[in-house]
Amino acid sequence: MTRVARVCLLLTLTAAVVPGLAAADERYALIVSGASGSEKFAESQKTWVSSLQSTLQKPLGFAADHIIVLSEGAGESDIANRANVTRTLTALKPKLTADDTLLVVLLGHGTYDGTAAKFNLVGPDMESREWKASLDGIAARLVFVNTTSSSFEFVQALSGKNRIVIAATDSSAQKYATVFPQYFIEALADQAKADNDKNGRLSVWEAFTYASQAVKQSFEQKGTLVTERSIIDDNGDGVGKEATATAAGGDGVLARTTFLDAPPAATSANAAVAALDKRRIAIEVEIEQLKARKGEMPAGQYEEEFERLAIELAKISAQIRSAK
Amino acid sequence: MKSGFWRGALIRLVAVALAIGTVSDGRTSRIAHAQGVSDPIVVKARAAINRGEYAEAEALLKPLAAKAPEGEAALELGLFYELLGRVDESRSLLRRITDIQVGPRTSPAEYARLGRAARSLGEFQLANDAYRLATEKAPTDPALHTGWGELFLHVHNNPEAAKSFQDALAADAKWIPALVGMARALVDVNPPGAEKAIEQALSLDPNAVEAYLLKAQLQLDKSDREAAKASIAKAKSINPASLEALAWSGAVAYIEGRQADLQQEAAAALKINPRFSGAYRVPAELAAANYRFEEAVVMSRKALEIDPNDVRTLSALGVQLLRTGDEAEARQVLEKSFAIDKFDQTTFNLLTMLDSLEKFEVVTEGNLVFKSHASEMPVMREYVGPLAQQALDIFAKKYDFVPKGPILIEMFPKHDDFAVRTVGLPGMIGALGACFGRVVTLDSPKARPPGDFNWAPTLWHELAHVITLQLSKQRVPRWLTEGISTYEEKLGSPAWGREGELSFVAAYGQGEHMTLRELNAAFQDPEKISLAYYEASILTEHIVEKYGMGALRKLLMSYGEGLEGEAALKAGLGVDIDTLQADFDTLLNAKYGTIVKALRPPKELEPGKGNPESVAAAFPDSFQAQVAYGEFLRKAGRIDEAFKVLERAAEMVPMATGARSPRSVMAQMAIERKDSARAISELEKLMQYENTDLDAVRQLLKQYEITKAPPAKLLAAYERIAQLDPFDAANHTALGRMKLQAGDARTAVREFRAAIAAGTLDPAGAHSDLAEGYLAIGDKVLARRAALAAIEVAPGYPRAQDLLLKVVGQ
Repeated sequence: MTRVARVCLLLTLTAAVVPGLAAADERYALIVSGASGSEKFAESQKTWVSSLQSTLQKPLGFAADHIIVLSEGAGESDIANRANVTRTLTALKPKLTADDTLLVVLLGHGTYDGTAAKFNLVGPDMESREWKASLDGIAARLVFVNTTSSSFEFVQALSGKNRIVIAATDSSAQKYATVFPQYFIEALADQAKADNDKNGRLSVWEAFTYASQAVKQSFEQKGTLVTERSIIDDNGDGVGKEATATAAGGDGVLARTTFLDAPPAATSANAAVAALDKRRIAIEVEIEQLKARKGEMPAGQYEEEFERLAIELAKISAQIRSAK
Repeated sequence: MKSGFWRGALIRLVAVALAIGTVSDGRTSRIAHAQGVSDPIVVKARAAINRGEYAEAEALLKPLAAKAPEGEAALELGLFYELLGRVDESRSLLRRITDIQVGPRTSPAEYARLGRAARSLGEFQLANDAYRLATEKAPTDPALHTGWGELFLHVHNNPEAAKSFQDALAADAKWIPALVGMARALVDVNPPGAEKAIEQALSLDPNAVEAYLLKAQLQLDKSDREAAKASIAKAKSINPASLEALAWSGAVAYIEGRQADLQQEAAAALKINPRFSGAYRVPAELAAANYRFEEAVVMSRKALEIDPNDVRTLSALGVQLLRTGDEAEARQVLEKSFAIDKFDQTTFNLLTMLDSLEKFEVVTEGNLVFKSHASEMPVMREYVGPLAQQALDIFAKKYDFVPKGPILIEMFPKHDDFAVRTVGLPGMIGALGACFGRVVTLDSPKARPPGDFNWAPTLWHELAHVITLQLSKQRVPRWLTEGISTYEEKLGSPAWGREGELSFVAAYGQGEHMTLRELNAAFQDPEKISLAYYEASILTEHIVEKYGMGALRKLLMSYGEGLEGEAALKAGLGVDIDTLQADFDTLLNAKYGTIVKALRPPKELEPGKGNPESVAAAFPDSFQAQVAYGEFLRKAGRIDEAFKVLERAAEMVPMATGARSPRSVMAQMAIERKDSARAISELEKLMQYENTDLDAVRQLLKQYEITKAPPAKLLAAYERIAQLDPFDAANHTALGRMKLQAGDARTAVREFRAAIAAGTLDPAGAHSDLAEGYLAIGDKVLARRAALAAIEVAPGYPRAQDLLLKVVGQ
């Protein structure tokens, strides 16, 4: 591991164990359910939109008026077409600050003709560069999730600072209808399932890895060739990485510290509990730092040190729980 | 066009001479015409060689060869010396021929001689070029195409060889050497085609020694040893000094335990050619073909004592060693073989497969050695070893026999690797597993889509072969070993081994089943083999029920004592085959007579004829008429009526499975109308005969969950899924939690370990489950490790923290 990579990882992990540290103040969502192309897909998209919309409100706690849905069958002002997408994003820009988060989810179909990737809208489609133009200037942290076929190109096009870009596919060969949206929405809806580190919060990283692995397993269970591999880019290099490859690729830092659910309540007013909480956070930081050094330590030393910290953490956590 | 000659250049010349060499006296004038040979002395010498009159042949050829060292007689003499093992003399003569200067005026016959000589000298690309040029100059000469085909055979390219022989036969449909060559090209892949070619050759030339020997091989493949002996005897009567005939005669003697006869034949052959390793190689190959691999290894080693560089023996020994489980020596031998003959695709495949196999993980438990791909071992080790041990324990008790170990089980995630490990070539699409006595190979669950097959009954089946092969000293006939294995499969679990039943009953109804005398040969017939499996299992079941396990064991041992066929049957069961046949016929009729009647399709069901309702009314006892009517009613939305009709159909043929079976259709109808109770009932009945339908089990589980079915039912469904799709992590977790709740902590631990190994989506939860399981069985060390693993994934996870504190006592 290079020195730079190690430093970067430590920063990430340190932040990750401080819930709310990187959480934004306001959370907005734009759901765009594009042209379905058939009754079957229309039905799926409708179900996904409905499920995602309700999940964002509850349990994730997005304010109802912060969720905008543009869809195929909607009325003129809400139909998923180019004009409404650009109008909506333009209208959002002045509202969003650097402390906010904007989640954009594209549902439907995408294409890639060798030069341009498009998301299929009602009427003229929008190319990835047009999405970029519409999104540029947004001050908020952007979580852009293109769940469609041929979505990989969006990663490079939209990549940037303070942006997490997720695509359901990682190459032009992956041009078939995707199942990624089903599992991504499932991860948001059932946080307990996707909350990999069991800290009671759902990060974008956890939702992404859950969906990625669930997609893989669904293909394995069907015994069919995997036709989609989702990727993520959050370090602004424009190169998407799979969930399994991310540690080596440098992505995941931002996604691990970006949460889609509401921030937890403030630390206890009880001074004793607050002190314990402080110590808990400190140990969690120590644990993450230790884990980051694992590959460089003798196994026995790591295990001994880890166990000591784990026991101390467990005791303090138990005390906090009983005090509450 | 032969432009695809795989490793490089195209060369083509051959073998006018070869053509002569493979035809006996009656055809010499024809050959002479075809190749433009005019010297009657060469023709006469050839005829003498074909009769085994070697001294006379040499006397005829020698003067001519001296006079024309690049001519026909020189080639013949060179090949003749090669036959006798006089290598230096042979090479010296053949080298002169390959060294000729070629140019625009070189004749096809000269190219042919060059090609044939080059082939013997191992210069295959030169030979190929020579044949190409020869056939370009004389495209309708069957002898040239035949020679080229022989070259392809020599370098193991049978498909190209067959094309060349086809070209020869297109030029002359009665070209005997091409017919014989075609038979050789087809003998392994298309025995009926080979047989046809041989019969044609023999009808044209009743003295074709090679054709008789090929015929004998096919007869041996069909276990018709007496006929094979007659064919070999015929070959020997034509040419008593034929090395191949002597080798085959010795091989049959060896198989029959006539050691002295083997030695006599080998001595006779070695007297003619002291370097003729075939004297033991052929017996080795026949022993291996009869599953007697350890004996084959011994014979092959004897062959190598005669000629340590005999590539055919080396490659065969490599395969034999693989089948005895000695992979280390197999690799050495195969590498030596490949260094000599880089054209042998089988050896190449095996070496490549061994390279992959070396990366497999190995688990040894007692007498069992289990090898699995690293990506699968963590999951499969939880199941394969215990199931194999369970099977062997049951069989050991039942057959009163402890098999010799170590027993090697290899499981391949790529079917082609399994095929190569088993037969040296990819393919074998229908095969799932194989057993060689102490070596079992099989597809892993990942080799095929989940629900395509069930690895567990496959392993059970193959391990039953371990018993029957070893108990009979590898001499059990195919019908009995497969019959017992399938029978044991059916006893292993209620739904195992029944997939062939409906096809068998349908065939039985059409009179297409086999008599007992035909049964063994049916295993060589791709059209009949699946029926043969099931029929043999019913016969085994009948033997056990009527004569008892003791008799079955005695029958196996009687084969081991050297008895065969009906004599073994009489010794083992105390009954003659006709009596057994009569009893078996009665049994089949009693067991399946009614179903057979139900399965007869009314003609009115043919497309365009009748309507389902009237046909069903006219044929109330016809399964197909009722199924068709049921489907009709379903489409018409008359669901209650559809249930009644399909229920009746299902009762007629209870073993019907698959998506269109009555039980399956009724289950779907019940699910559609949200009638979980009915859906469960149908799916449960379906599962009694179906052991691979993963979707159906998942549907059943879902219905159980909806109805909050008793834990025992849920457990059974989880266990079935775990067997059919061992890489379903969530299922392992669910099963483990139920087991833990039920107090079976050991099984729970196994399932939790499997969940982690299969790549659970919730690793912290899975490690915590495992910690709980270990705590329940009192293993605090492992519980502590598991709790720490959970905390490593999720430091703030209260459940894991509490478990850790519990384990450390704080």
